[in-house]
Amino acid sequence: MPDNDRISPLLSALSGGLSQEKLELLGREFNSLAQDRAETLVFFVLQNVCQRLASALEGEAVSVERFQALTAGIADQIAKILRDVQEGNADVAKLEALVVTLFRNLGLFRH
Amino acid sequence: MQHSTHSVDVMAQTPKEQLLEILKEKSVCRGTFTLASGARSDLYIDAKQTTGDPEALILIGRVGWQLVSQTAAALQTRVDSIGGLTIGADAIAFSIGIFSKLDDPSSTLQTFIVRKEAKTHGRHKLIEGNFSAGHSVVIVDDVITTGGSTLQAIDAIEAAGGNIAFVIVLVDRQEGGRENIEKRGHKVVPIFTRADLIGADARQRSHIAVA
Repeated sequence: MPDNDRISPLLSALSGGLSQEKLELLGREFNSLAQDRAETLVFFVLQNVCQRLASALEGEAVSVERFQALTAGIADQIAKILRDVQEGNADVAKLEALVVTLFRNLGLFRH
Repeated sequence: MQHSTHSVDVMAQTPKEQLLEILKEKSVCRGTFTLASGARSDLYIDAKQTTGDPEALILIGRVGWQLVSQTAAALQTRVDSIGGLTIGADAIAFSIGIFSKLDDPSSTLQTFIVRKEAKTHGRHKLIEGNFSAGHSVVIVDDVITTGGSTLQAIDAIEAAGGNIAFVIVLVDRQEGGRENIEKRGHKVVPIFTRADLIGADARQRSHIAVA
């Protein structure tokens, strides 16, 4: 299967919204893509973002409001990064913005 | 030291009834929640509050082992080992394994853990513990909603050469998970259903929407 054919299903999955189970699936696929494609850093970051967010959701009674706060902006930003990859224009600045969003959503910033 | 606050009338109840009381007291949360599948519900079952309680674990082992041995006899199948996807299945599998040994050393169930992801170094193991290819396996889970985590464990065991005897779950939320697993040809035996926890009349009410 050409590499880009592995990205389209991920974009479809993202368009349906996030869940813990979907984040775990995405994380596994990004891990696989990091090992298979040239954009190793991009997929390594995406895998870690999905994995950390899934871990935050796992085993918790997550209220609808808390879920929305934890996942705000994540799916859209991942989708933009994936579209860039499809077009051969991986953008590291968008990875930085995604990680900032993740840290903000999880309340990890100390400053 | 703080002790468990639940007080079960052990004289008046069967082990299963005692376990149900602990589940209701410790694990049933009401509110509006987003579940692991993305579905919204006004019921969240925090099973780890129960599976982390030593008194409940003894009851899970006793009730679970009875269910495993009865189901194996009814299906006329042997069972070699028991386990499921970490971490929901772990305590349940270990407890049932211990009770199998206490009840009848000749039918002791070996136990294992299925990782969510294979280790990325070393032997890349996905299954840890006492599982071998060719084993007839009972898969366990704490709660099933869509059945996703149970099916993940089933896939891992089948890929490693195991055969699924049947599936035991602590709580079936009655939201299609059991049907999803049984479509794959594996019998699912719940210890409790959502109706046991909150009453059959509340079933429709508690499921708000599927994302």
